[in-house]
Amino acid sequence: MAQINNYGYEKLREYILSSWNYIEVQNESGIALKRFGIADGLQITRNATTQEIEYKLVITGDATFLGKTVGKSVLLEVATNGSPIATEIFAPFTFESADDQLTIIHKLQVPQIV
Amino acid sequence: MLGTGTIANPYIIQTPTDLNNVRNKITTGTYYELGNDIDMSKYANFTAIGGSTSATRFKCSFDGKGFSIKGIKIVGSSNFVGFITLLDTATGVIKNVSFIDANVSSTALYTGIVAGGTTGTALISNCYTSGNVDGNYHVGGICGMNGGTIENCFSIAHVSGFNHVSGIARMDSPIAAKIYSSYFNGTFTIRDTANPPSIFGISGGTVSSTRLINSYYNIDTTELVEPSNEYGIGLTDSQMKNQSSFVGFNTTVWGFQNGNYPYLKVFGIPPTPSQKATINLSSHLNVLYCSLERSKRKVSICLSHSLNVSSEATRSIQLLKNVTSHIDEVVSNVTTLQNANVKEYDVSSYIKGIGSNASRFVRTVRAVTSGIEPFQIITDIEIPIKIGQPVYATAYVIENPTNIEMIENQSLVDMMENHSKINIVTNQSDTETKENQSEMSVI
Repeated sequence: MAQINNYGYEKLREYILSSWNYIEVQNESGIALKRFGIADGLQITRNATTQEIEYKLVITGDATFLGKTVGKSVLLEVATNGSPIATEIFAPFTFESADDQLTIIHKLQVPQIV
Repeated sequence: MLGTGTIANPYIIQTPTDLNNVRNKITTGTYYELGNDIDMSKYANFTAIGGSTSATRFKCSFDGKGFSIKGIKIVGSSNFVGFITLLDTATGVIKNVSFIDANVSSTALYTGIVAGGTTGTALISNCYTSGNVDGNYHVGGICGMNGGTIENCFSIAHVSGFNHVSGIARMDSPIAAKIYSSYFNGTFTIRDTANPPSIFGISGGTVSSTRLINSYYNIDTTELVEPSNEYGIGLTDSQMKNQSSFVGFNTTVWGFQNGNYPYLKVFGIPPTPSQKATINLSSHLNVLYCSLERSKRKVSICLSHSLNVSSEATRSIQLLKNVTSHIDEVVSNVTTLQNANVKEYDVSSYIKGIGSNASRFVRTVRAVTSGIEPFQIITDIEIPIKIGQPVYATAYVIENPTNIEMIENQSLVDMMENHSKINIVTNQSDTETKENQSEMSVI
């Protein structure tokens, strides 16, 4: 079997950049708290020198999250419903005050960096 | 500034300018109070109030009334640098005030956030500090050098200096100097790399168990452990959040919340400190591979054949007898399973030449018969027909060669005409029947 070459991966990254544009934050049990798109402050960047696509999200303890605990970050391609593309679990973070702030940096390696 | 500076009618400080003007009215026994929180973050460098000489020391009362002074910045180059230079005598009191996000620095000795120093029976009570304080020698989170009394205070500031730094204050030698019911929950840094560091959780200098009482520091944040507890009692971070750890803390002054550090009630319940965290996650796409799978269809010839089939009967006789030799039915059968992806294929079934030989060596003429029974070819072709699409089916008999050799005369040879039978299931079939092209020769 031959590995997909750099051009092939580049085309995949281009597709992902244009299509996988949503991060949903969930609690520890997988209950959705909010799905973020670019209009909601989700930053999607790609360093041309690497094979990573970075999704960055800054969440504060606003009415949506105050008193809530977050524990999962899910990558999706649609604004509603849809199937998870990648689900990452992290140490639970509870928003106890409006000033609390959580920054989630979710990197997608295409292909995996070894 | 409101008020007259008396105990009954103290000066009321409401603005940064009011606060700065305190230096202009420091007659012994003058009383000041904060009327509200004072934000000094936009104010230029604040100069410490008072001086270090006996005449200029701060001998007044300053009551914060539970308000805060925020963002004050003080830079000095003389000994005793702090909000107050040197607090002196029984009338020198600072109480009930917090200094939040202060930034105090000096290149000289005795640097603290509340005061550079205290002496006599001066008192610092119910105060706390946060921010940074940096000096040369004798630096403290509350006071640089304490010759008076510090009670019910705490600091969460970062305390740094060249050497000899203390969480609360260095203890001066006067026997009346005391620090009690206080704690330090900040951090330390010293710059002296040539000498052993002198870092004291609460207080260094002239300390003893009767002068440094019930005061605690966090051994986790300070990374400082004094097994003898001579310079303050070390507690883990977890212990620092447990009320039972703070022996001697008056609960009318101190408040305790589960999971939080003690707070001074005069300032109210502190807000929960905001949390800031960054979580790094990584997903990946596995390396992809191409796979080539080639399906080979090869035209091959499948031959099935049997060796010569013969039936032989030999009998030595003297009398005429019938001798019969025969071969049962000979069948060539080909079955082809149709692959849906292959629309054209050839199927052939045929029987090669069939021969019947009979020979007799005789002395008299006898009948010798060699024959081939009539044979037939049946070809059935069934093909689903699409309308308008012709189907061609061809069945034919190539030839039926019969080769007869007569060794003797009077042989009788009958040639049966080929009886081929062809069934055509669909129309548009093209059928060609060739007549038997037998060849006979008589020698």
